Amino acid sequence: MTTVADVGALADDVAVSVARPRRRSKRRNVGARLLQLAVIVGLFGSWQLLASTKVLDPAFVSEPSQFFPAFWHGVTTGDLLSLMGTTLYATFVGFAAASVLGLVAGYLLAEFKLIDLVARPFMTGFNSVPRIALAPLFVLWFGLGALSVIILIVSLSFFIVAFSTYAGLQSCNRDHLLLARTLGAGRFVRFRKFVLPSAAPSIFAGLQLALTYAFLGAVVGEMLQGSQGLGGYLALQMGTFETTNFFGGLVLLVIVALLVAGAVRAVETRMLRWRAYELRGTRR
Amino acid sequence: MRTRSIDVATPVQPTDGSGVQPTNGNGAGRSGPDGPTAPAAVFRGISHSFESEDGTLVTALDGIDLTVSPGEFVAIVGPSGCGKTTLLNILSGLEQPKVGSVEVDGHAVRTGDREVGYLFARDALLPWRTVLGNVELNMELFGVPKEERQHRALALLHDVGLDDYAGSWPAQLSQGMRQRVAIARTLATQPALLLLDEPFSALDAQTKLVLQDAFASLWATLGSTVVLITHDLAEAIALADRVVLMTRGPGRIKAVFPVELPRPRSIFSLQSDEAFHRFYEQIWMQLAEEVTPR
Repeated sequence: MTTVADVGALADDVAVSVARPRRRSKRRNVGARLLQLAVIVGLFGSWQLLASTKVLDPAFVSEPSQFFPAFWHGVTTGDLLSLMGTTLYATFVGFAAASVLGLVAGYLLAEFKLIDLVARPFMTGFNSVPRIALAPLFVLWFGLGALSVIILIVSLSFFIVAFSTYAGLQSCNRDHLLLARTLGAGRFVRFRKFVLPSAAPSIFAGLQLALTYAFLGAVVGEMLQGSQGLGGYLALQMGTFETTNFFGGLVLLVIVALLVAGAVRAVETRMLRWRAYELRGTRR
Repeated sequence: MRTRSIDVATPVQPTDGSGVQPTNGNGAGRSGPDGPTAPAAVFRGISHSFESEDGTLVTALDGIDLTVSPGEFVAIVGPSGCGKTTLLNILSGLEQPKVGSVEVDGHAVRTGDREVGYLFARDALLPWRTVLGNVELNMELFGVPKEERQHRALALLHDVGLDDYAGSWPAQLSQGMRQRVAIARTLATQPALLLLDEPFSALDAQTKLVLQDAFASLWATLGSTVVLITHDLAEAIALADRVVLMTRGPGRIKAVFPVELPRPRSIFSLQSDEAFHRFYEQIWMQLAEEVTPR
Protein backbone atom coordinates (compact mmCIF):
# COMPACT_ATOMS: atom_id res chain seq x y z
CA MET A 1 0.00 0.00 0.00
CA THR A 2 1.13 3.46 -0.72
CA THR A 3 1.50 5.90 2.08
CA VAL A 4 1.85 9.63 2.19
CA ALA A 5 5.59 9.19 2.76
CA ASP A 6 5.79 7.20 -0.46
CA VAL A 7 4.14 9.99 -2.34
CA GLY A 8 6.63 12.42 -0.84
CA ALA A 9 9.54 10.23 -1.86
CA LEU A 10 7.97 10.03 -5.26
CA ALA A 11 7.88 13.78 -5.58
CA ASP A 12 11.61 13.83 -4.81
CA ASP A 13 12.17 11.26 -7.52
CA VAL A 14 10.36 13.43 -9.99
CA ALA A 15 12.44 16.45 -9.05
CA VAL A 16 15.64 14.46 -9.52
CA SER A 17 14.61 13.03 -12.85
CA VAL A 18 13.67 16.43 -14.16
CA ALA A 19 16.74 18.22 -12.85
CA ARG A 20 19.22 15.79 -14.34
CA PRO A 21 18.93 16.62 -18.04
CA ARG A 22 18.62 20.29 -17.21
CA ARG A 23 21.96 20.29 -15.40
CA ARG A 24 23.60 18.57 -18.34
CA SER A 25 22.29 21.17 -20.76
CA LYS A 26 23.47 23.95 -18.47
CA ARG A 27 27.06 22.85 -18.89
CA ARG A 28 26.64 22.83 -22.65
CA ASN A 29 25.06 26.29 -22.46
CA VAL A 30 28.13 27.88 -20.83
CA GLY A 31 30.25 27.02 -23.87
CA ALA A 32 27.62 28.35 -26.23
CA ARG A 33 27.30 31.59 -24.24
CA LEU A 34 31.08 32.16 -24.39
CA LEU A 35 31.04 31.67 -28.16
CA GLN A 36 28.13 34.07 -28.49
CA LEU A 37 30.06 36.65 -26.47
CA ALA A 38 33.04 36.15 -28.79
CA VAL A 39 30.81 36.75 -31.83
CA ILE A 40 29.47 40.00 -30.31
CA VAL A 41 32.95 41.26 -29.40
CA GLY A 42 34.24 40.29 -32.84
CA LEU A 43 31.37 42.00 -34.63
CA PHE A 44 31.52 45.32 -32.82
CA GLY A 45 35.33 45.21 -32.57
CA SER A 46 35.77 44.92 -36.31
CA TRP A 47 32.99 47.46 -36.86
CA GLN A 48 34.84 49.90 -34.62
CA LEU A 49 38.12 49.16 -36.38
CA LEU A 50 36.69 49.68 -39.87
CA ALA A 51 35.02 52.93 -38.82
CA SER A 52 38.07 54.31 -36.95
CA THR A 53 40.36 53.61 -39.90
CA LYS A 54 37.79 55.25 -42.21
CA VAL A 55 37.52 52.10 -44.31
CA LEU A 56 33.81 52.53 -43.77
CA ASP A 57 32.49 56.09 -43.51
CA PRO A 58 31.26 56.71 -39.92
CA ALA A 59 28.70 59.11 -41.37
CA PHE A 60 26.97 56.10 -42.89
CA VAL A 61 27.69 53.30 -40.40
CA SER A 62 28.35 55.33 -37.24
CA GLU A 63 30.66 53.50 -34.81
CA PRO A 64 30.11 51.43 -31.68
CA SER A 65 32.04 53.90 -29.50
CA GLN A 66 29.44 56.50 -30.49
CA PHE A 67 26.14 54.65 -30.68
CA PHE A 68 26.50 52.61 -27.47
CA PRO A 69 26.85 55.85 -25.43
CA ALA A 70 23.92 57.29 -27.43
CA PHE A 71 21.90 54.20 -26.53
CA TRP A 72 22.89 54.47 -22.87
CA HIS A 73 22.10 58.15 -22.77
CA GLY A 74 18.67 57.51 -24.27
CA VAL A 75 18.01 54.82 -21.67
CA THR A 76 19.23 56.77 -18.63
CA THR A 77 17.38 59.97 -19.58
CA GLY A 78 14.31 57.89 -20.35
CA ASP A 79 13.83 59.45 -23.79
CA LEU A 80 14.34 56.20 -25.66
CA LEU A 81 12.46 54.23 -23.01
CA SER A 82 9.28 56.23 -23.37
CA LEU A 83 9.47 55.79 -27.16
CA MET A 84 10.05 52.08 -26.62
CA GLY A 85 7.03 52.04 -24.31
CA THR A 86 4.81 53.39 -27.09
CA THR A 87 6.10 50.72 -29.47
CA LEU A 88 5.72 47.94 -26.91
CA TYR A 89 2.18 49.05 -26.16
CA ALA A 90 1.20 48.73 -29.82
CA THR A 91 3.09 45.44 -30.07
CA PHE A 92 1.39 43.85 -27.08
CA VAL A 93 -2.10 45.12 -27.78
CA GLY A 94 -1.81 44.02 -31.41
CA PHE A 95 -0.28 40.68 -30.45
CA ALA A 96 -2.92 40.01 -27.81
CA ALA A 97 -5.77 40.85 -30.17
CA ALA A 98 -4.24 38.78 -32.97
CA SER A 99 -3.70 35.84 -30.59
CA VAL A 100 -7.25 35.81 -29.25
CA LEU A 101 -8.78 36.21 -32.71
CA GLY A 102 -6.35 33.73 -34.22
CA LEU A 103 -7.02 31.07 -31.58
CA VAL A 104 -10.77 31.42 -32.02
CA ALA A 105 -10.50 31.38 -35.83
CA GLY A 106 -8.18 28.36 -35.76
CA TYR A 107 -10.59 26.53 -33.48
CA LEU A 108 -13.58 27.32 -35.69
CA LEU A 109 -11.72 26.21 -38.83
CA ALA A 110 -10.65 22.95 -37.21
CA GLU A 111 -13.98 22.16 -35.61
CA PHE A 112 -16.52 23.16 -38.25
CA LYS A 113 -16.07 21.70 -41.70
CA LEU A 114 -18.32 24.27 -43.37
CA ILE A 115 -16.45 27.25 -41.94
CA ASP A 116 -13.20 25.64 -43.06
CA LEU A 117 -14.45 25.11 -46.61
CA VAL A 118 -15.91 28.60 -46.94
CA ALA A 119 -13.46 30.79 -45.06
CA ARG A 120 -10.06 29.23 -45.56
CA PRO A 121 -9.57 30.21 -49.23
CA PHE A 122 -10.29 33.82 -48.29
CA MET A 123 -7.88 33.68 -45.40
CA THR A 124 -5.16 32.15 -47.54
CA GLY A 125 -5.78 34.84 -50.14
CA PHE A 126 -5.64 37.72 -47.70
CA ASN A 127 -2.58 36.23 -46.02
CA SER A 128 -0.70 36.34 -49.34
CA VAL A 129 -1.23 40.10 -49.66
CA PRO A 130 1.91 41.98 -48.52
CA ARG A 131 0.35 43.71 -45.51
CA ILE A 132 3.10 46.32 -45.24
CA ALA A 133 1.79 47.73 -48.50
CA LEU A 134 -1.56 48.20 -46.82
CA ALA A 135 -0.09 50.28 -43.99
CA PRO A 136 -0.86 53.63 -45.72
CA LEU A 137 -4.42 52.43 -46.24
CA PHE A 138 -4.74 51.63 -42.54
CA VAL A 139 -3.49 55.15 -41.72
CA LEU A 140 -6.10 56.56 -44.09
CA TRP A 141 -8.85 54.53 -42.45
CA PHE A 142 -7.83 54.60 -38.81
CA GLY A 143 -5.81 57.81 -38.64
CA LEU A 144 -2.29 58.57 -37.48
CA GLY A 145 -1.61 56.97 -34.13
CA ALA A 146 -1.55 53.68 -32.29
CA LEU A 147 -4.77 52.25 -33.73
CA SER A 148 -3.60 51.98 -37.33
CA VAL A 149 -0.33 50.43 -36.13
CA ILE A 150 -2.26 47.89 -34.07
CA ILE A 151 -4.46 47.04 -37.06
CA LEU A 152 -1.33 46.46 -39.14
CA ILE A 153 0.04 44.13 -36.45
CA VAL A 154 -3.22 42.20 -36.23
CA SER A 155 -3.32 41.82 -40.01
CA LEU A 156 0.15 40.25 -39.87
CA SER A 157 -0.04 38.12 -36.73
CA PHE A 158 -3.64 36.91 -36.86
CA PHE A 159 -3.11 34.52 -39.75
CA ILE A 160 0.00 33.01 -38.23
CA VAL A 161 -1.82 32.17 -35.00
CA ALA A 162 -4.98 31.03 -36.82
CA PHE A 163 -3.17 28.67 -39.19
CA SER A 164 -0.86 27.19 -36.57
CA THR A 165 -3.82 26.63 -34.23
CA TYR A 166 -5.78 25.04 -37.06
CA ALA A 167 -2.87 22.74 -37.95
CA GLY A 168 -2.25 21.89 -34.30
CA LEU A 169 -5.87 21.00 -33.59
CA GLN A 170 -5.84 18.60 -36.52
CA SER A 171 -2.64 16.86 -35.49
CA CYS A 172 -4.26 14.79 -32.74
CA ASN A 173 -3.05 11.20 -32.78
CA ARG A 174 -5.60 8.67 -34.05
CA ASP A 175 -4.85 6.27 -31.21
CA HIS A 176 -5.62 9.03 -28.72
CA LEU A 177 -8.91 9.80 -30.43
CA LEU A 178 -9.84 6.11 -30.40
CA LEU A 179 -9.03 5.99 -26.68
CA ALA A 180 -11.21 9.05 -26.11
CA ARG A 181 -14.02 7.36 -28.01
CA THR A 182 -13.82 4.11 -26.09
CA LEU A 183 -13.92 6.11 -22.88
CA GLY A 184 -17.08 7.81 -24.07
CA ALA A 185 -15.52 11.28 -23.96
CA GLY A 186 -17.90 14.00 -25.07
CA ARG A 187 -16.98 16.83 -27.38
CA PHE A 188 -15.70 19.11 -24.62
CA VAL A 189 -13.68 16.47 -22.76
CA ARG A 190 -12.18 15.21 -25.99
CA PHE A 191 -11.12 18.75 -26.88
CA ARG A 192 -9.86 19.66 -23.42
CA LYS A 193 -7.95 16.47 -22.61
CA PHE A 194 -6.87 15.09 -25.99
CA VAL A 195 -7.04 17.58 -28.84
CA LEU A 196 -5.87 20.80 -27.19
CA PRO A 197 -2.77 19.38 -25.43
CA SER A 198 -1.60 17.79 -28.67
CA ALA A 199 -2.07 21.13 -30.43
CA ALA A 200 -0.09 23.07 -27.81
CA PRO A 201 3.37 22.76 -29.43
CA SER A 202 2.08 24.00 -32.77
CA ILE A 203 0.11 26.82 -31.13
CA PHE A 204 3.18 27.94 -29.18
CA ALA A 205 5.30 27.95 -32.34
CA GLY A 206 2.66 30.12 -33.98
CA LEU A 207 2.51 32.52 -31.04
CA GLN A 208 6.28 32.97 -31.08
CA LEU A 209 6.33 33.74 -34.77
CA ALA A 210 3.32 36.03 -34.37
CA LEU A 211 5.17 37.98 -31.67
CA THR A 212 8.13 38.50 -33.99
CA TYR A 213 5.79 39.79 -36.66
CA ALA A 214 4.02 42.00 -34.12
CA PHE A 215 7.33 43.72 -33.39
CA LEU A 216 8.01 44.05 -37.07
CA GLY A 217 4.55 45.47 -37.70
CA ALA A 218 4.88 47.96 -34.83
CA VAL A 219 8.24 49.36 -35.90
CA VAL A 220 7.45 49.45 -39.64
CA GLY A 221 4.02 50.95 -39.00
CA GLU A 222 5.54 53.67 -36.85
CA MET A 223 8.31 54.31 -39.35
CA LEU A 224 5.79 54.84 -42.13
CA GLN A 225 3.84 57.26 -39.94
CA GLY A 226 7.13 58.86 -38.95
CA SER A 227 5.65 60.43 -35.86
CA GLN A 228 5.54 58.10 -32.88
CA GLY A 229 7.24 55.31 -31.01
CA LEU A 230 10.70 53.95 -31.56
CA GLY A 231 9.87 53.34 -35.23
CA GLY A 232 9.04 57.00 -35.70
CA TYR A 233 12.26 57.96 -33.92
CA LEU A 234 14.33 55.68 -36.16
CA ALA A 235 12.70 57.14 -39.30
CA LEU A 236 13.35 60.66 -38.06
CA GLN A 237 17.03 59.98 -37.25
CA MET A 238 17.51 58.32 -40.63
CA GLY A 239 15.88 61.26 -42.37
CA THR A 240 18.33 63.65 -40.75
CA PHE A 241 21.37 61.38 -41.23
CA GLU A 242 21.80 60.90 -37.49
CA THR A 243 23.14 57.37 -37.90
CA THR A 244 24.54 57.31 -34.38
CA ASN A 245 21.11 57.92 -32.85
CA PHE A 246 19.62 55.48 -35.33
CA PHE A 247 21.93 52.65 -34.25
CA GLY A 248 21.48 53.64 -30.61
CA GLY A 249 17.74 53.17 -30.97
CA LEU A 250 18.27 49.94 -32.86
CA VAL A 251 20.38 48.50 -30.03
CA LEU A 252 17.52 49.07 -27.60
CA LEU A 253 15.03 47.53 -30.02
CA VAL A 254 17.15 44.39 -30.44
CA ILE A 255 17.66 44.01 -26.68
CA VAL A 256 13.95 44.38 -25.91
CA ALA A 257 12.92 42.02 -28.72
CA LEU A 258 15.36 39.39 -27.42
CA LEU A 259 14.08 39.76 -23.85
CA VAL A 260 10.44 39.39 -24.89
CA ALA A 261 11.16 36.40 -27.13
CA GLY A 262 13.18 34.83 -24.31
CA ALA A 263 10.29 35.29 -21.90
CA VAL A 264 7.89 33.58 -24.31
CA ARG A 265 10.32 30.72 -24.80
CA ALA A 266 10.69 30.32 -21.03
CA VAL A 267 6.91 30.04 -20.67
CA GLU A 268 6.83 27.49 -23.49
CA THR A 269 9.62 25.37 -22.01
CA ARG A 270 7.84 25.38 -18.69
CA MET A 271 4.46 24.44 -20.07
CA LEU A 272 5.71 21.89 -22.60
CA ARG A 273 8.37 20.20 -20.48
CA TRP A 274 7.26 16.79 -21.78
CA ARG A 275 8.11 17.93 -25.26
CA ALA A 276 11.86 17.97 -24.59
CA TYR A 277 11.69 14.30 -23.61
CA GLU A 278 9.46 13.42 -26.53
CA LEU A 279 11.92 14.94 -28.99
CA ARG A 280 14.99 13.52 -27.31
CA GLY A 281 13.41 10.14 -26.64
CA THR A 282 15.85 9.25 -23.87
CA ARG A 283 15.22 6.64 -21.27
CA ARG A 284 15.86 7.25 -17.66
CA MET B 1 -10.31 -31.43 -10.02
CA ARG B 2 -8.61 -30.93 -13.33
CA THR B 3 -5.37 -32.70 -13.99
CA ARG B 4 -2.91 -32.68 -16.78
CA SER B 5 -3.95 -36.14 -17.89
CA ILE B 6 -6.33 -34.67 -20.45
CA ASP B 7 -4.85 -35.59 -23.78
CA VAL B 8 -5.79 -33.06 -26.34
CA ALA B 9 -8.28 -30.34 -26.79
CA THR B 10 -11.47 -31.51 -28.39
CA PRO B 11 -12.70 -29.03 -30.92
CA VAL B 12 -16.32 -28.12 -30.44
CA GLN B 13 -18.01 -27.19 -33.66
CA PRO B 14 -20.40 -24.30 -33.34
CA THR B 15 -23.09 -25.88 -35.47
CA ASP B 16 -26.28 -24.75 -33.83
CA GLY B 17 -27.12 -21.09 -33.68
CA SER B 18 -27.15 -20.87 -29.92
CA GLY B 19 -23.43 -20.40 -29.53
CA VAL B 20 -21.07 -22.59 -27.62
CA GLN B 21 -21.56 -23.16 -23.96
CA PRO B 22 -18.39 -23.31 -21.95
CA THR B 23 -17.39 -26.91 -21.60
CA ASN B 24 -14.78 -26.57 -18.94
CA GLY B 25 -16.22 -24.25 -16.37
CA ASN B 26 -12.72 -23.05 -15.70
CA GLY B 27 -13.70 -19.45 -15.64
CA ALA B 28 -17.44 -19.63 -15.47
CA GLY B 29 -18.89 -17.42 -12.80
CA ARG B 30 -15.49 -16.25 -11.65
CA SER B 31 -15.67 -13.03 -9.78
CA GLY B 32 -12.80 -11.28 -8.12
CA PRO B 33 -12.78 -10.25 -4.49
CA ASP B 34 -13.25 -6.53 -5.19
CA GLY B 35 -14.19 -6.47 -8.85
CA PRO B 36 -17.80 -6.05 -9.89
CA THR B 37 -19.69 -9.16 -10.99
CA ALA B 38 -18.38 -10.15 -14.37
CA PRO B 39 -20.88 -10.02 -17.23
CA ALA B 40 -21.56 -12.47 -20.02
CA ALA B 41 -20.96 -11.37 -23.60
CA VAL B 42 -23.09 -12.81 -26.38
CA PHE B 43 -22.62 -12.55 -30.14
CA ARG B 44 -25.79 -13.48 -32.00
CA GLY B 45 -25.57 -14.21 -35.71
CA ILE B 46 -23.10 -11.44 -36.44
CA SER B 47 -22.39 -10.75 -40.11
CA HIS B 48 -20.57 -7.69 -41.30
CA SER B 49 -19.20 -6.35 -44.54
CA PHE B 50 -17.23 -3.36 -45.77
CA GLU B 51 -17.28 -1.51 -49.03
CA SER B 52 -13.80 -1.68 -50.49
CA GLU B 53 -12.26 1.19 -52.43
CA ASP B 54 -13.45 -0.07 -55.82
CA GLY B 55 -16.99 -0.33 -54.51
CA THR B 56 -17.23 -4.09 -54.09
CA LEU B 57 -18.65 -5.48 -50.89
CA VAL B 58 -16.18 -7.47 -48.80
CA THR B 59 -17.62 -9.80 -46.21
CA ALA B 60 -15.61 -9.50 -43.02
CA LEU B 61 -17.68 -11.62 -40.66
CA ASP B 62 -20.15 -14.32 -41.52
CA GLY B 63 -22.60 -15.70 -39.00
CA ILE B 64 -20.67 -15.46 -35.75
CA ASP B 65 -22.38 -17.00 -32.73
CA LEU B 66 -20.45 -17.04 -29.53
CA THR B 67 -21.28 -16.84 -25.84
CA VAL B 68 -18.62 -15.76 -23.39
CA SER B 69 -19.56 -16.76 -19.85
CA PRO B 70 -19.19 -14.44 -16.87
CA GLY B 71 -15.57 -14.39 -15.75
CA GLU B 72 -14.43 -16.43 -18.70
CA PHE B 73 -11.25 -15.63 -20.63
CA VAL B 74 -11.83 -16.23 -24.32
CA ALA B 75 -9.14 -15.79 -26.94
CA ILE B 76 -10.08 -15.31 -30.57
CA VAL B 77 -7.33 -16.44 -32.92
CA GLY B 78 -7.18 -16.27 -36.67
CA PRO B 79 -5.10 -15.23 -39.65
CA SER B 80 -4.77 -11.53 -40.31
CA GLY B 81 -7.73 -10.14 -42.16
CA CYS B 82 -10.18 -12.60 -40.64
CA GLY B 83 -12.22 -9.87 -39.01
CA LYS B 84 -11.05 -10.41 -35.43
CA THR B 85 -10.69 -6.73 -34.70
CA THR B 86 -14.05 -5.98 -36.32
CA LEU B 87 -15.60 -8.52 -33.98
CA LEU B 88 -14.09 -6.74 -30.98
CA ASN B 89 -15.14 -3.34 -32.31
CA ILE B 90 -18.68 -4.63 -32.60
CA LEU B 91 -18.63 -5.97 -29.06
CA SER B 92 -17.36 -2.61 -27.82
CA GLY B 93 -19.98 -0.63 -29.72
CA LEU B 94 -17.39 1.11 -31.90
CA GLU B 95 -19.02 -0.49 -34.95
CA GLN B 96 -22.56 -1.63 -35.60
CA PRO B 97 -22.93 -5.04 -37.25
CA LYS B 98 -24.88 -5.22 -40.51
CA VAL B 99 -26.63 -8.37 -39.28
CA GLY B 100 -27.05 -9.78 -35.77
CA SER B 101 -26.58 -8.29 -32.34
CA VAL B 102 -24.27 -8.28 -29.34
CA GLU B 103 -25.19 -8.15 -25.72
CA VAL B 104 -23.17 -7.64 -22.59
CA ASP B 105 -25.08 -8.75 -19.51
CA GLY B 106 -28.27 -8.66 -21.51
CA HIS B 107 -27.78 -5.09 -22.75
CA ALA B 108 -26.74 -3.69 -26.06
CA VAL B 109 -23.30 -2.11 -25.73
CA ARG B 110 -22.24 1.43 -26.46
CA THR B 111 -18.86 3.13 -26.27
CA GLY B 112 -18.00 4.76 -23.02
CA ASP B 113 -19.56 1.97 -20.97
CA ARG B 114 -17.76 2.18 -17.64
CA GLU B 115 -17.89 -1.57 -17.13
CA VAL B 116 -15.81 -2.10 -20.25
CA GLY B 117 -12.03 -1.70 -20.45
CA TYR B 118 -9.93 -1.66 -23.62
CA LEU B 119 -6.35 -2.50 -24.24
CA PHE B 120 -4.84 -1.94 -27.66
CA ALA B 121 -1.66 -3.03 -29.41
CA ARG B 122 -0.41 0.54 -29.31
CA ASP B 123 -0.30 2.02 -25.84
CA ALA B 124 -1.83 5.40 -26.79
CA LEU B 125 -0.19 7.03 -23.77
CA LEU B 126 -0.61 10.79 -23.71
CA PRO B 127 2.91 12.24 -24.02
CA TRP B 128 1.99 15.41 -22.11
CA ARG B 129 0.98 13.48 -19.01
CA THR B 130 3.35 11.84 -16.60
CA VAL B 131 3.13 8.08 -16.11
CA LEU B 132 0.96 8.69 -13.05
CA GLY B 133 -1.24 11.11 -14.99
CA ASN B 134 -1.71 8.53 -17.71
CA VAL B 135 -2.77 5.83 -15.28
CA GLU B 136 -5.25 8.31 -13.80
CA LEU B 137 -6.73 9.27 -17.18
CA ASN B 138 -9.56 6.73 -17.46
CA MET B 139 -10.55 7.22 -13.82
CA GLU B 140 -10.49 10.98 -14.37
CA LEU B 141 -12.92 10.69 -17.27
CA PHE B 142 -15.13 8.44 -15.18
CA GLY B 143 -15.21 11.00 -12.38
CA VAL B 144 -13.19 9.20 -9.71
CA PRO B 145 -12.20 11.74 -7.02
CA LYS B 146 -8.61 12.98 -7.21
CA GLU B 147 -7.30 11.39 -4.04
CA GLU B 148 -8.71 7.98 -4.76
CA ARG B 149 -7.48 8.28 -8.32
CA GLN B 150 -3.92 8.89 -7.26
CA HIS B 151 -4.07 6.23 -4.58
CA ARG B 152 -5.32 3.58 -7.01
CA ALA B 153 -2.92 4.66 -9.75
CA LEU B 154 0.10 4.37 -7.45
CA ALA B 155 -1.05 0.96 -6.25
CA LEU B 156 -1.42 -0.23 -9.84
CA LEU B 157 1.96 1.17 -10.82
CA HIS B 158 3.34 -0.90 -7.99
CA ASP B 159 1.51 -3.95 -9.33
CA VAL B 160 3.04 -3.55 -12.78
CA GLY B 161 6.48 -2.89 -11.28
CA LEU B 162 6.77 0.78 -12.17
CA ASP B 163 6.79 2.37 -8.70
CA ASP B 164 9.83 4.46 -9.56
CA TYR B 165 8.44 5.88 -12.76
CA ALA B 166 5.29 7.64 -11.58
CA GLY B 167 6.79 11.04 -12.34
CA SER B 168 8.49 10.09 -15.59
CA TRP B 169 7.24 11.04 -19.03
CA PRO B 170 6.09 8.28 -21.39
CA ALA B 171 8.93 9.18 -23.77
CA GLN B 172 11.41 8.09 -21.11
CA LEU B 173 10.02 4.54 -20.98
CA SER B 174 10.76 1.47 -23.07
CA GLN B 175 7.99 -0.09 -25.18
CA GLY B 176 7.33 -2.78 -22.59
CA MET B 177 7.12 -0.25 -19.78
CA ARG B 178 4.75 1.89 -21.81
CA GLN B 179 2.44 -1.08 -22.33
CA ARG B 180 2.55 -1.77 -18.58
CA VAL B 181 1.34 1.77 -18.03
CA ALA B 182 -1.45 1.14 -20.52
CA ILE B 183 -2.41 -2.04 -18.66
CA ALA B 184 -2.48 -0.14 -15.37
CA ARG B 185 -4.58 2.62 -16.96
CA THR B 186 -7.10 0.09 -18.28
CA LEU B 187 -7.35 -1.92 -15.06
CA ALA B 188 -7.62 1.17 -12.87
CA THR B 189 -11.34 1.50 -13.54
CA GLN B 190 -11.81 -2.18 -12.61
CA PRO B 191 -13.71 -3.07 -15.79
CA ALA B 192 -15.98 -6.08 -15.54
CA LEU B 193 -15.44 -6.81 -19.23
CA LEU B 194 -11.97 -6.47 -20.72
CA LEU B 195 -11.48 -6.21 -24.47
CA LEU B 196 -7.91 -6.88 -25.55
CA ASP B 197 -6.89 -6.17 -29.12
CA GLU B 198 -3.47 -7.77 -29.58
CA PRO B 199 -2.13 -5.94 -26.53
CA PHE B 200 1.22 -7.73 -26.52
CA SER B 201 1.86 -7.87 -30.25
CA ALA B 202 4.17 -4.87 -30.42
CA LEU B 203 6.57 -6.30 -27.84
CA ASP B 204 9.69 -8.43 -28.21
CA ALA B 205 9.41 -12.13 -27.37
CA GLN B 206 10.72 -11.95 -23.79
CA THR B 207 8.95 -8.75 -22.81
CA LYS B 208 5.79 -10.30 -24.17
CA LEU B 209 6.02 -13.25 -21.75
CA VAL B 210 6.76 -10.98 -18.82
CA LEU B 211 3.75 -8.81 -19.56
CA GLN B 212 1.44 -11.74 -20.24
CA ASP B 213 2.41 -13.16 -16.87
CA ALA B 214 1.89 -9.83 -15.12
CA PHE B 215 -1.45 -9.38 -16.83
CA ALA B 216 -2.57 -12.93 -15.95
CA SER B 217 -1.95 -12.40 -12.25
CA LEU B 218 -3.67 -9.00 -12.25
CA TRP B 219 -6.62 -10.52 -14.03
CA ALA B 220 -6.82 -13.30 -11.46
CA THR B 221 -7.50 -10.74 -8.73
CA LEU B 222 -9.89 -8.73 -10.90
CA GLY B 223 -11.95 -11.65 -12.24
CA SER B 224 -13.31 -9.82 -15.26
CA THR B 225 -14.71 -11.43 -18.36
CA VAL B 226 -12.05 -11.14 -21.06
CA VAL B 227 -12.15 -11.27 -24.83
CA LEU B 228 -8.64 -11.34 -26.28
CA ILE B 229 -7.95 -10.87 -29.96
CA THR B 230 -4.58 -12.23 -31.01
CA HIS B 231 -2.70 -13.84 -33.87
CA ASP B 232 -0.34 -15.45 -31.37
CA LEU B 233 -1.60 -18.95 -30.66
CA ALA B 234 0.78 -19.56 -27.76
CA GLU B 235 -0.48 -16.40 -26.09
CA ALA B 236 -4.09 -17.47 -26.59
CA ILE B 237 -3.53 -20.91 -25.04
CA ALA B 238 -1.43 -19.59 -22.17
CA LEU B 239 -4.00 -17.03 -21.10
CA ALA B 240 -7.44 -18.23 -22.12
CA ASP B 241 -10.07 -20.67 -20.90
CA ARG B 242 -11.24 -21.19 -24.46
CA VAL B 243 -9.60 -20.56 -27.81
CA VAL B 244 -11.90 -19.60 -30.65
CA LEU B 245 -10.34 -20.28 -34.04
CA MET B 246 -11.52 -18.21 -36.98
CA THR B 247 -11.27 -18.91 -40.68
CA ARG B 248 -9.55 -16.68 -43.15
CA GLY B 249 -11.93 -14.00 -44.45
CA PRO B 250 -14.83 -14.05 -44.53
CA GLY B 251 -14.43 -14.71 -40.81
CA ARG B 252 -16.36 -17.66 -39.48
CA ILE B 253 -15.79 -19.65 -36.34
CA LYS B 254 -13.88 -22.73 -37.40
CA ALA B 255 -13.58 -24.43 -34.02
CA VAL B 256 -13.63 -23.74 -30.32
CA PHE B 257 -11.07 -25.39 -28.05
CA PRO B 258 -11.39 -25.49 -24.28
CA VAL B 259 -7.95 -25.05 -22.73
CA GLU B 260 -7.95 -27.27 -19.71
CA LEU B 261 -4.77 -26.14 -18.12
CA PRO B 262 -4.97 -25.62 -14.35
CA ARG B 263 -4.95 -22.14 -12.87
CA PRO B 264 -3.17 -20.18 -11.64
CA ARG B 265 -0.85 -20.58 -14.58
CA SER B 266 2.68 -19.33 -14.79
CA ILE B 267 3.31 -18.17 -18.31
CA PHE B 268 6.99 -18.98 -17.85
CA SER B 269 6.61 -22.58 -16.75
CA LEU B 270 3.99 -23.14 -19.44
CA GLN B 271 6.75 -22.65 -21.99
CA SER B 272 8.09 -26.08 -21.10
CA ASP B 273 4.77 -27.65 -20.15
CA GLU B 274 3.84 -30.81 -22.06
CA ALA B 275 0.07 -30.29 -21.98
CA PHE B 276 0.53 -26.74 -23.21
CA HIS B 277 2.46 -27.98 -26.21
CA ARG B 278 -0.10 -30.67 -26.96
CA PHE B 279 -2.79 -28.01 -27.04
CA TYR B 280 -0.59 -25.89 -29.24
CA GLU B 281 0.04 -28.64 -31.79
CA GLN B 282 -3.60 -29.65 -31.86
CA ILE B 283 -4.88 -26.14 -32.51
CA TRP B 284 -2.01 -25.17 -34.77
CA MET B 285 -2.88 -27.95 -37.22
CA GLN B 286 -6.23 -26.28 -37.74
CA LEU B 287 -4.89 -22.75 -37.71
CA ALA B 288 -2.18 -23.63 -40.23
CA GLU B 289 -4.86 -24.52 -42.79
CA GLU B 290 -6.07 -20.93 -42.57
CA VAL B 291 -2.68 -19.30 -42.51
CA THR B 292 -0.98 -21.17 -45.36
CA PRO B 293 -1.88 -20.01 -48.85
CA ARG B 294 -4.42 -22.19 -50.60
